[in-house]
Amino acid sequence: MKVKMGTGMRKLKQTALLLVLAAAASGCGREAEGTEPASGDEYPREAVEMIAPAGRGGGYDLTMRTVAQCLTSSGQVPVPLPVTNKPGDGGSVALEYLAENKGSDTVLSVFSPPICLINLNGTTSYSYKENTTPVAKLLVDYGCFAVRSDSPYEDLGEVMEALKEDPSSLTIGGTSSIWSMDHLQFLVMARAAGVEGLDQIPYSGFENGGAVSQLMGGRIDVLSAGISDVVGLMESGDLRVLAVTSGERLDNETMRSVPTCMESGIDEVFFNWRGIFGPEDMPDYALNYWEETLENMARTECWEEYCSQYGWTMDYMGHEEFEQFLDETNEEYRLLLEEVMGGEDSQGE
Amino acid sequence: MELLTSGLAVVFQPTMFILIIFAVFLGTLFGALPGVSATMAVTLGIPFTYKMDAVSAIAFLVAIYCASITGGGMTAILFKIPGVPSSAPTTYDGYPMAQRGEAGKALGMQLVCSAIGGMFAAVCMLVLSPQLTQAALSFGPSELFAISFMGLSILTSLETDNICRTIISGLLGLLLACIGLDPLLGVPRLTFGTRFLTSGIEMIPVMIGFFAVTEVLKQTAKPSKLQAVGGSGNMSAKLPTLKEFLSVKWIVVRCSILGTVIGILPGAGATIASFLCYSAEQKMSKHPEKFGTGCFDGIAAPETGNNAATGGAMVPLLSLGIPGGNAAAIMMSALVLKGVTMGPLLLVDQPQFLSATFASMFVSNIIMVFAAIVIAKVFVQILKIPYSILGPTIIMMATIGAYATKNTAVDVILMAVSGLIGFLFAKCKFNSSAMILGLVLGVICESNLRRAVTIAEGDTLFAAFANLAMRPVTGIVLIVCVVVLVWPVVKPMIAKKKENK
Repeated sequence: MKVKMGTGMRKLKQTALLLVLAAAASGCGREAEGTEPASGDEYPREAVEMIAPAGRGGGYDLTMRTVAQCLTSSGQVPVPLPVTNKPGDGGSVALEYLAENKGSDTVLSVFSPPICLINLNGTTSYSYKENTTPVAKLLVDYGCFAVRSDSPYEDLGEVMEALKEDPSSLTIGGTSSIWSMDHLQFLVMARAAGVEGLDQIPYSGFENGGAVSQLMGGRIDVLSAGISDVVGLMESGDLRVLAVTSGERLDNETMRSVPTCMESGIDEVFFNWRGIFGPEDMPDYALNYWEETLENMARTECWEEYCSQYGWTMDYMGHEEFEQFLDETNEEYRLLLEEVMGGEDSQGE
Repeated sequence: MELLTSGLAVVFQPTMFILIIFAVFLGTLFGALPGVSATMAVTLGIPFTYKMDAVSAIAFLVAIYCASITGGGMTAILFKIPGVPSSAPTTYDGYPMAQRGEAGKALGMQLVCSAIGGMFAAVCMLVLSPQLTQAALSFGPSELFAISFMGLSILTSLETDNICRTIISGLLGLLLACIGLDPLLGVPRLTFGTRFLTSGIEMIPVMIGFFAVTEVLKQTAKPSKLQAVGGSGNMSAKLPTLKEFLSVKWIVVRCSILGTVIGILPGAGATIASFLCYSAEQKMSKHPEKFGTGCFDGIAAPETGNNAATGGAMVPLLSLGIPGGNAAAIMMSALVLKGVTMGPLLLVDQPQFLSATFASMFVSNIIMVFAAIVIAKVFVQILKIPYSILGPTIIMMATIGAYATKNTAVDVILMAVSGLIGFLFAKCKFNSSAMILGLVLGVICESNLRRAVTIAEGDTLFAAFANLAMRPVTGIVLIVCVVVLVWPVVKPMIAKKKENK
């Protein structure tokens, strides 16, 4: 009996320990509440929650973890910066969370173009303008377009020519849902190339992964995705990357050989910028603190090293500049979406 | 051969071996916690790999992954709480056995089948990786739709004497699967304007609610059954006798193959594998009526299938750098953070990744049986705790599990509501298993069907559908589905007619 009790107790302890582990890892017990803004001098006094609006392993997650890593390892920020993943609906779950924490000084999140797009395409009613405080833009990443290595298309121009003749002749696939990042990234280029009937180009989004295998299996013709999605298969020669969306060729061993869209005769670039956002009505002392801290971080070697490792282009922009940038970008996206989606509506009528 | 020894060498290094044993225990316990899915178990294991090299890291994570899938089955049998979503079908037969006081036998069968399924898949992965990769690539949305639809077609035979209510329950599940954002267009559907519903009905909290919370409510309302669970009978895990095992040998073989194949498909994974294996075996069984009442077959099928899927999921990850499922995606992120470039060149340049993964899988599936027997002994002790304490504890664990899925309180409310609805379902004789089936497979069915239609060209919707059915695999599987769907409904009618004559 005693022995049994022993195992029982140990088990209980184990379970308790595991629970604590699980709780710690999943970030509960650190509810970011809108605490009393006692005084800005002592900020930050408690842990600041860092939100990655996607699951582990994506671009958001990587960015947020790198930021937290650089800030804590260099001792710039004295409080813990736990990264919490809040995946769902292209970032709207995280956006909603920011909206709930209005006025808080203990929560930050990373976002990229979808923060504008999910509002414009009707996925969520929350918007960057009303429900967040943009703190700083950190970096720019680029997308690319790839085909199978046995595909007849040698450069992006040929793809566009084919689409000009018949917009529904090729199926495009991407890693984000329809009317979001990867889709728009392609449409921007198609528009610049002079393709008409943009809404008739079939697009299939594989949000939960699998877009690359659909391309390899021949069910989509052109893949529009991030560079990290294709780099391994490009090295092995299974895929051919037609073009990157940057203005100049990327400074990276494998990607150096890939031309830009401009080289293929399409005068357009598409940025996948990433920046840090706080909740709406973030107190001024917190905003100032983070703007300054992030600016300092962007100058550290640690940050530089990570950026070159992941192929990111450093591009810091402070609060005011970033806000202005967002307004302009958002307007650009709005016009684009109106143009490409509007066609669909009038067709339906 | 050299490869194999190099892989085994990695695994049998003393430190690594201890780490793998540790990983197996960790994985089994994580898997047993409701709400901590296999994906999450792997995520929780990542911090342990920070100091390891990439090969050891993948060996460690694979061990956690395999063990967590098995761990989930243990709580499914003992408490009717599927610790991981893929062990939901195990509750159908495992829990009735536990109620009869045969928990030990059920656990033993589950462990042996899990281990065999896992090892079979590991061997397939090692030997057939290139062929399996090709197979994975030839499966598109239309094939995935056909396969998940086949899982749905079991609806009509889940509870044959109550067919109408079962179908209604299944359709309710499908309806719930529609709530939230449209999978392709991102437009909110059936959300009634509240933002709580925009993310859709999350599967894990609903499952925890319908199984665990409902069960606690039932026990509270009618505590008599409890005696059966906590009562006499040998409660520790008992390995099946040779005769018992031989009775399910063909099931194990079929489900190992089916599970592996489903595991390699992008976007499918262990959950679909276990549901599909359960339904396929029920169809093929000579005594389908025994399924759901607590028979060995009903435990062997899903547990072999879901563990076989683990091996399958590793195939596209290692050979193409494309993760086959969520857990594989997490493993990939761990490797990427270590500076490994994932892609077809990985195995050409560093074949030890494949061999180490294989060795780790094989060894951990064996260790798992012993680890699980130890853990099961402790778990079974839990059953002796008075229900007045155990019940609330289960609710507490369920709450934590529901919260942990996405770190939102909405999921906890969802779990509580599901628990109540599940209780009402049981009172009104609706079938909650059918509802869960609809919810789990509905999302996958819908998004794949619609993607397939987008991809298949056709002037009209009808033409697109016809094009779909022309694809060989899709067509054949769909025909089987129709037969499976209609037969249980038609069969009693024919029987009646004959009687009339």
